[in-house]
Amino acid sequence: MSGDVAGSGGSSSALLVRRAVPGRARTIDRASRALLLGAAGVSIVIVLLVVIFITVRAWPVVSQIGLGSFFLSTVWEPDSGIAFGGTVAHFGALTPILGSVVAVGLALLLAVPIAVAVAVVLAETDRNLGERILRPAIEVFVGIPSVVYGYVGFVVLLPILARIAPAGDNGSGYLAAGVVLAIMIIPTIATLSADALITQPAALREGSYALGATEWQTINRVVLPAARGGIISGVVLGLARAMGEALAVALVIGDVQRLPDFLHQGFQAFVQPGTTMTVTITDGVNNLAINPQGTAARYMLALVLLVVVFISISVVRLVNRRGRVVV
Amino acid sequence: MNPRARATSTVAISAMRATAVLLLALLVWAIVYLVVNGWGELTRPGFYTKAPNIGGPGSGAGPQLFNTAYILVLSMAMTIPVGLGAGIYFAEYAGTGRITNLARRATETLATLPSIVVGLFGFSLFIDATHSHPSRLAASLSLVVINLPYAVRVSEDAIRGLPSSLREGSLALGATRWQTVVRTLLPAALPSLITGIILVAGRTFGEAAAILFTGSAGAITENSNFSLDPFQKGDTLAVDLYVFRTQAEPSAVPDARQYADGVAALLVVLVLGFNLGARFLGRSLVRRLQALPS
Repeated sequence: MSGDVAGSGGSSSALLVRRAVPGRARTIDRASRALLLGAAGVSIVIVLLVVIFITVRAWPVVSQIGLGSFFLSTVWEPDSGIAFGGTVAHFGALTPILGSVVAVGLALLLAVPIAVAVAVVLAETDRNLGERILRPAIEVFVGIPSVVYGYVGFVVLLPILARIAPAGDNGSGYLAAGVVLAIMIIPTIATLSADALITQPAALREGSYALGATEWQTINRVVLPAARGGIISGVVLGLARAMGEALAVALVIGDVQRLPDFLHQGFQAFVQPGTTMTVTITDGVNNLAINPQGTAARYMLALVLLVVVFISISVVRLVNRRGRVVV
Repeated sequence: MNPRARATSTVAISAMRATAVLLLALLVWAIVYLVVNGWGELTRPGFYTKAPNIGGPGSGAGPQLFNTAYILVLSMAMTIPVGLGAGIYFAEYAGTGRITNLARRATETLATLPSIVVGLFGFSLFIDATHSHPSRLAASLSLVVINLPYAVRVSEDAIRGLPSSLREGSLALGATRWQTVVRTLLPAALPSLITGIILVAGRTFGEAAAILFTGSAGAITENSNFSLDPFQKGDTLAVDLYVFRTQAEPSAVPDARQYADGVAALLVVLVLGFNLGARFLGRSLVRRLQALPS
């Protein structure tokens, strides 16, 4: 709305400028406009550079390793090549890719119901208290660094999970990662959902109450479905954030190339060490310069994350055309 | 309204309220837990001056604290001009053209980029392509990529939040758009600009993955070297919280747990301080400006 006002104001004021303003001020006005446009364009340049650099650095995966043995194999032995005194290195990244899916899936399973419940309390049942206490608290939640959440998981959660883990394991694994990621993305989902709930017109609720519905029926069958665009945006952005989080996950997942074997081990499969894309990228930080193929494989994982980000943003734009993505 | 439906409604809403209360309790507990655990370190002067001592007791986080502040200042010095410029453009000049749309999309994309992707990008551009090495400068440049969209957003919001009568009055007096921005809009938006910029700066404390790849390459600074050289390696508090608990060598340090507890507590205190400070400062600036005779 205000953008349109500013836009039309711009053209009418340009008329004014041409008539009344002395030449020097007019030159400065034009130059400054170009400069500001340049500043706005910096983001475009950075995004292009990110895409180009990540793609170029990941290219050896296509030309030397082969996309098939990258995406379809679970044998990840990046440091067994010639540079490390071995013979052949393997770069099968299916384990970290599926590992990310498992960890983020668990995180969403935990986070979505909690976040939506918090959003309903904040926006529907207790709006006054919610705006005074809950929303500021959620903002504090957002501010706490994710690596600190990872650390709390490391010192508090792992000892608890170690009791149900197989003997000798310290409790790290997909469940710990899911819990830490859930805590991290609850604020994102809750805020966007609450904002979507608040903007629903009062007539919706009044109509539902007039038909004799209870408060819960009104929330569950009328207001929540009406606000689903905002809720989906929150969930998708939460998914993207969880998928991209590295160090908080690295602290609690154990960094072992292994997928949960649910069929044979049941629930215990989730309290044994595992890995994700970000964790696999992170553990190569010391060998970036000396292991070119291993580094290329990690850039390919980063490219997969980049694709996830682009898809997430497109989905959010699709369901919520006027919504903002930056929280 | 049948009684069964009414009972369901009461139960469901009570459950949601309980969830919200539990979440709040968890937040308060986590903050208290972290600060209490790190209290011994927070109140020990050596913690702020000494360096992490690999292989012996008596660690401190002095260089890490210094590097954190250094990278924060350097990256914000580069982020603010660009972010403010872009924010002004989006708020005052931008229409609905194709380039504006593209710039908006790009800004949103940057805000969603994972820190570790920025870390790999920063490594390939600022270190590999330029034949350089991990440094505080490379880390600061990477943080510009991460913080820029937020700086753009708070600048745009600060200017958009102003009443349009301000803009119209200035233009009616014959000022150019630029004069209106510099002499009327920016001064009026200053309180919310300052609040927003401090909040963006506060995000820097928690950035870890990008700095791990571009600033420290997994190493821990072991000497109390407080030089201002931007080309020195720089590991920050958040990065070391990860490195100290996961890498083999630091875990052998006798007081690793104590050190990490201290670093976590310090991070929480810094983040909360910036968060509350920004809000307080913003509010008092508004009050002072409004108290001026106009």
